[in-house]
Amino acid sequence: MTELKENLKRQIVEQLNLKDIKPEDIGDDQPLFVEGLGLDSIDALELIVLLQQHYGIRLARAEDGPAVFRSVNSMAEYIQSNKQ
Amino acid sequence: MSVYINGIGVISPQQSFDKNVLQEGFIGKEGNKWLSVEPNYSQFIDGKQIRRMSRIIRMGIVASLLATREAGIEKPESIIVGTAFGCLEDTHSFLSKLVQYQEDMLSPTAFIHSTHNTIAAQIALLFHCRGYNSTYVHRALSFESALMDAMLLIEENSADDVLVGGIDEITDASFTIMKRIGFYKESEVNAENFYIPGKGSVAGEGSAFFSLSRIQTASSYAKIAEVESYSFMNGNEVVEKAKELLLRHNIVQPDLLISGHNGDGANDKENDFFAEAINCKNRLLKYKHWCGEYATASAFATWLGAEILKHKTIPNCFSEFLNPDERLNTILIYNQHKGIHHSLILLNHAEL
Amino acid sequence: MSSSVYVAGTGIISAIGNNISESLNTFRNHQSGIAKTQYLETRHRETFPLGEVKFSNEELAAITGLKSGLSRTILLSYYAAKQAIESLPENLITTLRTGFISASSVGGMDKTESFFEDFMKDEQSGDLRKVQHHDCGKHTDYVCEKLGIKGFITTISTACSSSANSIMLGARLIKSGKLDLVIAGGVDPLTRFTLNGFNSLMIVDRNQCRPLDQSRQGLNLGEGAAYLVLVSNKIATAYNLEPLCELTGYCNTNDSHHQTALSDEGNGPYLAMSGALKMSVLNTSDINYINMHGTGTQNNDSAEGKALVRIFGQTYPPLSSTKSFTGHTLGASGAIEAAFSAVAVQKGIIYPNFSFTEAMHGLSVYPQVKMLENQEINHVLSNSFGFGGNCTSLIFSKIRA
Repeated sequence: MTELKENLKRQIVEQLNLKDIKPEDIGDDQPLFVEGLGLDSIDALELIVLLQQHYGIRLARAEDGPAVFRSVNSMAEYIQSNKQ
Repeated sequence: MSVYINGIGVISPQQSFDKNVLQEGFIGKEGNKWLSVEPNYSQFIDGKQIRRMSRIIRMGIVASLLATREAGIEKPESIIVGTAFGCLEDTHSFLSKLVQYQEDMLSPTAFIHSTHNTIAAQIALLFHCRGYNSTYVHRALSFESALMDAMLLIEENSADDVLVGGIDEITDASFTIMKRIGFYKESEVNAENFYIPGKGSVAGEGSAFFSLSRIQTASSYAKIAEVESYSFMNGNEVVEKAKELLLRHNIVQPDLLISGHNGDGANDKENDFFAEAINCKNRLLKYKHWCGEYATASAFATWLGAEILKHKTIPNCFSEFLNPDERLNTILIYNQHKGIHHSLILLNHAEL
Repeated sequence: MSSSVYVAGTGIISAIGNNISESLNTFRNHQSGIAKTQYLETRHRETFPLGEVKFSNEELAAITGLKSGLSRTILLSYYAAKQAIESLPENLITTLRTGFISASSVGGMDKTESFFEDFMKDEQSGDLRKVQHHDCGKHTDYVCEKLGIKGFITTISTACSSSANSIMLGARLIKSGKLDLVIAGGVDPLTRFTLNGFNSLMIVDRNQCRPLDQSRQGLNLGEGAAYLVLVSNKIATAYNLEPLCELTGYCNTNDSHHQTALSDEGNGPYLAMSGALKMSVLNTSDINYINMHGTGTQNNDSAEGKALVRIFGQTYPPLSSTKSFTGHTLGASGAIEAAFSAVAVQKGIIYPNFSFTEAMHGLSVYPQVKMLENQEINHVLSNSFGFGGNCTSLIFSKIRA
């Protein structure tokens, strides 16, 4: 799980082009949207692509996004329970 | 109705974002792909915003900021951009992923930014500008179309000031493709051999933005008296139109002709014909050996013309093309592409 | 005294018809043009229904007499532009100070994406003739050369408001006295680029779209082209033209909120509609029909609906989104819907929404669900809102004495 979260942080920084942020600076439970990292709706769509590209998981409904992408923790949990 | 140029911001293959460059002199470029000398963008744009902006968007944003700051404008009333190819890097990014992933797992950011009006939209977001906003994409007339619209807007009293720009970028893919089509010379080019006639030119790029207003200020460079474009007219017809335009402004002969010669034999023949026909062969300034050839290069020329009129002097780096004339009140900028698209921008000294 | 601007001709091709008459019949018969694609080679062909013009490129080339191998953009644009001018007196466009203003969001991308298949494998491969159609101005030049138009020619690209902006510019140039006649409009073909692009934003419906409906799931992509012939009143009189209507109001603004989404309160649409009303010196009660931008996305319909209520309150006129029939034709949509609006004034028509069951919660905006004809239609408002917050509203009116 730790490795998964570390990979996730790296992938998030890369996919969203967060040049000023180091992966290790992202807290496991830090809110990704609004406060925290301050991501927005377009970033949410990019994270959907990230899930597909790296984990083979399709998020069919955009409405599920907020819960899944709340933090690195919630993303990791989702991936663990949905990985093919 | 004339319109004042009150602020200018330019990013180009010269260090033009620093206006001292004209005193220090342009630097001769080499090779066949002349990329821009770029500023440190993070000095101008917040980190959170910059991450999503591709290079051309940054070039547009910074040139806009430089122009509006110089003009003392906090928020332009209207924003109009001319760009023949828009955000090529983003277009390429989305296209190549489309092919690579066979229409699956595609990034929305590249798609969003591939729309041609992204640059004008991002500038509007930056300034929270809700006024008229448009983007012209007609090849070598993209900048001139934007300029004509801006002048019309001011003439109609729909806006007192307008931010107008011409912007295009080179990408690796676009360079490769345009080279294959034959737009660029095979041999190595530099400022010295640039105009030796051959086939093709050199790839250039740039972003030049102008803050225009009906009102003259202390920062006014010059006036734009008129802008016209003509398509599918032959050289003689264009010369007639040019003479009519000059006559409308009581000008027998402009003091200087800034011409879009680009080193391609066929192209330059058209430009030579025009210069001869309006008796400006000996009062001619060429500029593409400094910025390269690109669809909106006439925006770079407009910056040069404005600088010359403001300071009433021609920078040293242009001295070999003309016999300097003391009178520098009117400048005509002529550009054409393949003998199909022709444009004229008439600049007057601000006090005229 | 500045001129009035009249609409002296229209040309249109879309999923619901190859001219105005066919389009009206489709509305009358309440048939949506949205269906499974016949021609677009995409892996999503079974997933997303599209508003496709019912001709292949080969068929369009044969009908127009143009070369096959041209981009679909050129074929559609030429088809509609030629139709727009065919009822004009001979030589009128070469006699007058004529302008041609087109618009497109993706230019010849249908050819470019095909080129890229080869280019990606090897940068020295790929048919260069394909990529020479790429830029947005290519189709404009091709069409003008074919139609013998010279002089002022340009192309606008502001996403989904593009061709509404063409029409607005054309009107402004006539009013300023710079031009006598302007052919203004736009075109966009279906491409994998746009289909996948909008899909990456997750705003494409897998079924028939339902604009203005609470349960809407997004847009259906469409394609097409349309051009209006705009003339000054003096020219119309001098040449005994029979204009359909007058373009009395227009306004372009920027929502300046987000790259792809409109502000919740619909500020850009609000300012665009208000500006057009102000220019035409009309009260809200004067508008007899609104052709909504109405894409079927959550964001647009909600924002546009809110802006509508801010201006019209609950006494809004009959309204609908014809995109429910044609699909969202992107760069062509402004002109296609302007053509419908001009004809609405001319013939007294109110267009329906193709499908509608439940109004957006909290907004109570109910579109027309059946086509109405022989109505008293004096003024029609047409909205077009694009990415980058680009918002344009046009008002077409019966000719004022």
